[in-house]
Amino acid sequence: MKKLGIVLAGAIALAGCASASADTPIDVADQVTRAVYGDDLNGTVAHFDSGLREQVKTEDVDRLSHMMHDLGSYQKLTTVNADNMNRRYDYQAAFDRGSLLVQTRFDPDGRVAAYRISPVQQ
Amino acid sequence: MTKRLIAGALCAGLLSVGAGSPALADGAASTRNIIFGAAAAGVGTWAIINHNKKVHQKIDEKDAQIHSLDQQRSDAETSATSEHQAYLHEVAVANHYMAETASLKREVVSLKRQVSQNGAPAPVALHPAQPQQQGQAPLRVASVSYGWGAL
Repeated sequence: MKKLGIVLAGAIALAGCASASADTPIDVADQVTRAVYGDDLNGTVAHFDSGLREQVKTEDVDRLSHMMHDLGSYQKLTTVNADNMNRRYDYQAAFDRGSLLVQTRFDPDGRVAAYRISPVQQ
Repeated sequence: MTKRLIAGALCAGLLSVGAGSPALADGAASTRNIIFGAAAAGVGTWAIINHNKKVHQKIDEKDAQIHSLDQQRSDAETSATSEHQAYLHEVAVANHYMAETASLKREVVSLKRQVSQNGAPAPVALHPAQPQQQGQAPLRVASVSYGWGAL
């Protein structure tokens, strides 16, 4: 019985570590970008704070998804700028036929307070 | 016939009597006639001078009227010239604004086309979106960004 408790505690600790590692800014940005690329409204707003969530509309996600699909398949994010003090992070989103600049800002709770993408001139 | 001869003789006799009367006049009558003649000449001179005076007055009035009309015409020409210049200025200003409006319209159409090609939502906030690079080749980022929230 005692061993079982230790195992459960270890499993819970591992799960906590795993979830913590999944919440790094680049991971959150990647998840949001993949959701936008997949035209997934719920996935897009999953990490958004309440104020930002209210701004998102289905047609907005649809348009940005089309914009991304014009560049081909989504591959990955690469950090371009990281400002931990202001929780501002910029990434280069690579696609088959180009890239986009993904700019994010997080609130103190780790929720996404701003998510913007900009075309990158090839 | 006889009556005509008698009437002609009487007329000739009367005429001869009238023509000879000045020669028979005395000195007082001559003086009176001279005074009457001088008076008549004075009246005639006065009448002529008065007439000339009126004529000159009318000429002066005509000249003044002509001068006034010339002045009015000159003023009208000046006013017309001024109005024409003001009109030309207004036309130039209007053309300038029309050209500027057309330029802005072309710009709006171009931006609309660009937005429609990008497939982005219309009410998108503009951001510089120029990140600081860290050991990488600088990205040439477009001057617009799409998404939600302020960075």
